[in-house]
Amino acid sequence: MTWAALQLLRVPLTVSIVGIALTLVVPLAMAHYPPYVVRPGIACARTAVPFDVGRPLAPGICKGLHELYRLSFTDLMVDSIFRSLALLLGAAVLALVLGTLLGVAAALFRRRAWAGGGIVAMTTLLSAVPAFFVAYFLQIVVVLIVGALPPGSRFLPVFGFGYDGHLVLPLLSVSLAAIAFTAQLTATRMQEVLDSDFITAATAKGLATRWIVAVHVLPHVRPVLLEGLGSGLRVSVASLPIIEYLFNWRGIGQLALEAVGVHDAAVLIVSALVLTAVFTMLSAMADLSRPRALYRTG
Amino acid sequence: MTRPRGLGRADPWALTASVILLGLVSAALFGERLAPHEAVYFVLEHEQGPRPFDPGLVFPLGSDVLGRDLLSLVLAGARATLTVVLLAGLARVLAGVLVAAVGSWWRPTRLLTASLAELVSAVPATLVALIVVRVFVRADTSVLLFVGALVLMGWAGPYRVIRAEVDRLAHSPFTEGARVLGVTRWRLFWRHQLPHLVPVIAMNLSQQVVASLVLVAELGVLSAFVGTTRVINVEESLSLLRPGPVNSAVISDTSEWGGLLASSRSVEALWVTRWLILVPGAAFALTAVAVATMGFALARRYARRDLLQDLRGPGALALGGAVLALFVVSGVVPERYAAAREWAAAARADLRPVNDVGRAFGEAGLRPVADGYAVERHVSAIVQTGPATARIGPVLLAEQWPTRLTDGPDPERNMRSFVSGGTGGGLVEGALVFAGRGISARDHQPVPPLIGAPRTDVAALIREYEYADDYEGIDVRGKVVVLVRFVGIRGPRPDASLNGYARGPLPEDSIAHAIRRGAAAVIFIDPSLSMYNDLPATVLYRRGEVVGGHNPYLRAAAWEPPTDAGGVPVVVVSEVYGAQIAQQFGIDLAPLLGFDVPDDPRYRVSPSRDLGITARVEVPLRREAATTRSYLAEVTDVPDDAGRIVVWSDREPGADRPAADVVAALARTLGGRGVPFVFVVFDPSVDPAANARAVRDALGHRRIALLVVLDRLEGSALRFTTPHGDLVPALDLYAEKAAARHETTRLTAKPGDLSGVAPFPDVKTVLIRGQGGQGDLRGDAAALIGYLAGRLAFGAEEVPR
Repeated sequence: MTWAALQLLRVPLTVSIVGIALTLVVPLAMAHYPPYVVRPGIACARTAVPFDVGRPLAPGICKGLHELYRLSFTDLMVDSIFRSLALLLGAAVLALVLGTLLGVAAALFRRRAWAGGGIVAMTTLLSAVPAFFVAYFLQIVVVLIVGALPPGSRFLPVFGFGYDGHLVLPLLSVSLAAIAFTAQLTATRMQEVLDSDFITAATAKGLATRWIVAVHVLPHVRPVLLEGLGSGLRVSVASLPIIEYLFNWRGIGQLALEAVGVHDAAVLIVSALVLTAVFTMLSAMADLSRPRALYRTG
Repeated sequence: MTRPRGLGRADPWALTASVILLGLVSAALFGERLAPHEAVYFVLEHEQGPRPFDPGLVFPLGSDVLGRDLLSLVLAGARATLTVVLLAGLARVLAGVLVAAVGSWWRPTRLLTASLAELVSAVPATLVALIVVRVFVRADTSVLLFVGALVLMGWAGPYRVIRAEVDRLAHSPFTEGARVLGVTRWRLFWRHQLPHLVPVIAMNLSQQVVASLVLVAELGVLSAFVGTTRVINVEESLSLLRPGPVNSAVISDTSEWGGLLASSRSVEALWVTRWLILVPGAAFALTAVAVATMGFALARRYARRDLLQDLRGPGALALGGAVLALFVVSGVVPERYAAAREWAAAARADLRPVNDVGRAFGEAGLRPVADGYAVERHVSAIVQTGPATARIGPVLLAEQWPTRLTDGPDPERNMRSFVSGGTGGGLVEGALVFAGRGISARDHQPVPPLIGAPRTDVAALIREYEYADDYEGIDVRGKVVVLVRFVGIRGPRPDASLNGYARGPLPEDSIAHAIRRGAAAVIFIDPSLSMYNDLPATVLYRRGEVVGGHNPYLRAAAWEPPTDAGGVPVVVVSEVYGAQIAQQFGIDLAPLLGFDVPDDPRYRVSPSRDLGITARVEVPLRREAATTRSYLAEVTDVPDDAGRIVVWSDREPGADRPAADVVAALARTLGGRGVPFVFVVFDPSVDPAANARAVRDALGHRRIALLVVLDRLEGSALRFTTPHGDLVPALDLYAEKAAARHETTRLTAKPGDLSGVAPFPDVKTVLIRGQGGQGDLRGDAAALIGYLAGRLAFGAEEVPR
């Protein structure tokens, strides 16, 4: 079996093992903590029942999330998966376009201290600042702008779902880390290529910089791009639950968090499996595009 | 590269890393002492404006919902937060290195470790950590468990990176050369490979610390924190009340940053109280950036240097020395308000039995509030002098006497008297008549439809289901009437009332209907009797369908107190006693005790009938006249307009460990110290409410900032009950500082919980009461209040607010 096929096979394998583990563990874990109110409106009825003298609480008082959202289970999951994938897809596009541009710029400006250093510092900062703080910060900035606008004028909504202005802030929060990651990897790889002998030769021959970058440098950088995108988007997937929760963007991340609160094992398992699948696919993508010498040793 | 000869020549990255390290260590060690305020907020007097308070002069970065200063909280929480994330980061990397080493040295485990890492890194860490924290973090778990939750899913990242690096090194020429020379495996790792791993480990350590920090923050946002939590009512601080548990803030016991994010999460927080989110969020973000910078700096420095060489240099020595010095200094610098502990010890030492409170006040140098230390009142009231009894044929039923007061369901309570303005007392002997449940359509006026909540119209239901009139075939005049409580009807209409149950009439109304028809005495059978407590508060208890809530007999007696010792004696009995009465006459109580099924033909025939014997009911009442004497005095040299702290205890003549001794001890300790304290030893006999009013009148114009009620100081730990959430963290902290045994307050009391104990309902009150066991807690109570006084005297920055 080829290396690539093995890499692809690990996705269903991982998902099924995680699925079995979750099915065994989640209901057991839920029996060991009381349900709680995740947000106003998403609550278990159990908290409202009078304390029963000498009798354990009746099970099943908690309503499933699909009842609370008044949707069928399948509709709820499919709808939520699309909402989350929209964020991830947007993050991928942003990371590819902005991340590559920033990385190329950082590499080309590597001799100019302020420009190059500025980009490096910015990407380092962005990859270190937690996504939830970016989310809060963006929300507050928008609220401040909205507050300064004359009444009646419209600006970005700070939470809620919609494939319109609603998309901007969660997308930014989810993708900033991925952008920074892609930019850093691109810049590192591009600097290596720019310092190599054949580029020096090409420059000495008098080729135009634009031509050198497009024809001689970028083909060497392309594999790294995919690796950077894969690794960067993994960070986005990891921060997806909290970002969706903060923006009230009802994707699978938010559903999973709410399912923990209202003891909805089915929703939790399915959402966690979807996140796991996305995560593993991104890992496989990053590994496939990484130079293989590093891993072939074993 | 040459060795640096001192910090002056150290490279800027190393310097940056050292400065950040020292900064974080100092924040962790001194945070609480650097903070402008304490991490608790003990509000005695504040403006009525709703909390959280805006950033301003008193609170540089604003306050949280409890009114605690956010900057101080962030500084005080630095230690716990940084310890947790540092431990978690270290543990993650260590676990990663160990697993990588095992996988690298022992080939067969490689596939296993690699697959495990793959699985672990594929599952979203936030979800797993959230569930682990929810399942395992309990009141008795430590910080280590929280760290474990963070490590569980975090080791895979370092493992992947370090294993790749170890593999690369294992195939490098210098490793092969060393092997050929016969270098041992351990020495090879320590001397040749580890220096190459340092930059990777440094970078990874910083990444993992940041990842743990982010996870702590995310769990905080989701209200899952390090250690135990308590739910504190913040109702009084909200501008808008919403139904449900939203009005409670979940507060973490350990002061750490995640907990600050939890209570800040609301829509208003974005628009109005932004500092709630921004201040702890910025603390997280700044720390994350600082730690990332440190990792970056270390990785950069050791990419081309040997760590061991640096460790032997003067720079490392200086850094180590500086860190050590910080630790030493933090051990030496005294805590805030250390002197208040002496006040606590003094109050504890001053505790001794007191016979004459007035004289004790005089010796302590207190000033009388009224004309003398004593406030006297001449009163007369109706009191019950013995157990209520009922004799029906051979059966003699008696109330437990003296009445055992309970704060929960008491299955042994089978009988109680019901004395109110509408009923009465005395001895009645008369013919016994059974009046069923006293259902009569004539007693119920149709309820006019109300806008708003649906209300059950029992009268309409009685007519609709054609209930027989229980009073139609009998004459109750001058007789002893046996009545069964009409609990209600199950599910008349699905949406008509609470869960479809229509509740029957109030018990006092059923009794009143019988008395209006001329009953001489009433024996009322109530299946809920054992579920009523003696607190004037609403606590729901349930057994099957029967629910006990607010004790209706206490409520009715409080609304309409008795005016004379005569009247119609009424006793309420449980279904156990009820069965003893009923079986003599072959009456089956079972169909009468539960909820009725709508339209059941059984209820169209009334079970009421004359029982053919005479019965005797007695509720002994007497009008008592007495003189009550409460003592009160205040500390001298207090500004007239200062808000006073009133320490209040009841007079308990003959008690083994009277709480009044604590009041006297405090009077001795605080007498000459100019703190705004007022001491009250209160006489609750005959008519407590009127006596309390007399004390209030004596206090006159003095403002009461806080009322501390001491009650039954026996047990193994003090328990604090207060509906004022802002007092809770302060009391717990002060009790800890004063070394007073206490129970951590987990919940804010409901406002009704104190209504029987708090003498003044409009004053901020805390009830201190012993809990569990037989120990003497009076010393602990004295120490706690002594500390509180000292804390107030040595700095109460919130008071000027």
